[in-house]
Amino acid sequence: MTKKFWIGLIIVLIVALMGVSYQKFLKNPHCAYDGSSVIPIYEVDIVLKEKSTKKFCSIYCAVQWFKNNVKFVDHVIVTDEIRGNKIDSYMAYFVTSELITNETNDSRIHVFQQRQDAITHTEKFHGMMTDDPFSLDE
Amino acid sequence: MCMFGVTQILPSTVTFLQIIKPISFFIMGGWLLCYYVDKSTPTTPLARKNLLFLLIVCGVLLADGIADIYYVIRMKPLMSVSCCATFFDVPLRPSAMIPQAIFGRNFQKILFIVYYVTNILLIALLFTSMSKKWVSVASLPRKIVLYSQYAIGIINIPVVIYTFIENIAPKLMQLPYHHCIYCFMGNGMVPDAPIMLGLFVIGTFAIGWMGILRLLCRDTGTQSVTEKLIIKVNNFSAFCLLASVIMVTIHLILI
Repeated sequence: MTKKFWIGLIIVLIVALMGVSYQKFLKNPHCAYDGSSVIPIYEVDIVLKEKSTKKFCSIYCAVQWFKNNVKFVDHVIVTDEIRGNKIDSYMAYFVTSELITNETNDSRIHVFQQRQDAITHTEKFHGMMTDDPFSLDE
Repeated sequence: MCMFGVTQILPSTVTFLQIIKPISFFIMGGWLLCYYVDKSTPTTPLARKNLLFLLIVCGVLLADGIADIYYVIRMKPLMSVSCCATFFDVPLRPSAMIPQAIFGRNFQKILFIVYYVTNILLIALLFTSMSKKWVSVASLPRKIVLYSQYAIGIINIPVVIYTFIENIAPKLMQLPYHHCIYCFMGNGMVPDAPIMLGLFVIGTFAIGWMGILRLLCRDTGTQSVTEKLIIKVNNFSAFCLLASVIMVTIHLILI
């Protein structure tokens, strides 16, 4: 094997490590409630009236923060578990099931963009549909 | 509109384009290598063969270009198309049904093992023809190794595609229920995903390019140039496939 071959492999190795680092440390922010890494599939973004955004690792963390800061909140964006799409919480379907999303806080609330996905999850993991925990109704 | 949505505007045209584009790239690469061999020889003994090959290449590229223009002209703004989840995430998706029919219920695990087995085997075969002892190997074992490279190279294509859709893409995107290869490639969740797949495509095509060189450039006065070029392409193919597998493995371990 030539020197070029090894140099090429080292470059590829560096590119792969950079890709992983980007995903782990740059792209995945930390939860504004418990500081843990935010997994894209369960990300919750709370948009404040002053236009800044707080990111959370689970519905549980977001709800805990939301309860104490409701007056500052403009709207809440949740992530569809199936496609990873970000949607307004009032458009989403919430399901509480036996499947845990975050072991550290035992969060069992799942978010879906489409009703059919929510029903399928409910049947599969013995869950039930729940109301939007981020309802801003007066 | 997502990348998959674009493919749903004129599905039959896009299917044709998605097939013809890799073919165009493959035969164009093959022709360029043949042209390089011909140009490296002062008497240009492959001129006629290359010209005929170029006609075929032009025909394919013309079809590709016409299909591209047809697609752009027929595309209408504000068309509503289906989302990738309605195709890639349904239980009866082809990428799950075909491997399931072959490997049974636990197809995802088996597919994953097959992915590593076929890739490692292919890389090992390419490394075999890279070794210095290869020149002295008898004709029959030599042919067996070469034909095995082609056979495993072809088998490796669907194996890699299905493994990416079923196992690798959902794991790397951290979306375990989402099997969309277009999202994997284009939504930036895995920034080096195009490099992983690109290396696989070039590595696999390089095996085919070696076949084209052996077929068109062997029995002429260009033997030594062809041999040298085949060794280079062989090394390049081994490198690309190995690099692709290493990148996937690093991501799977560290993510």
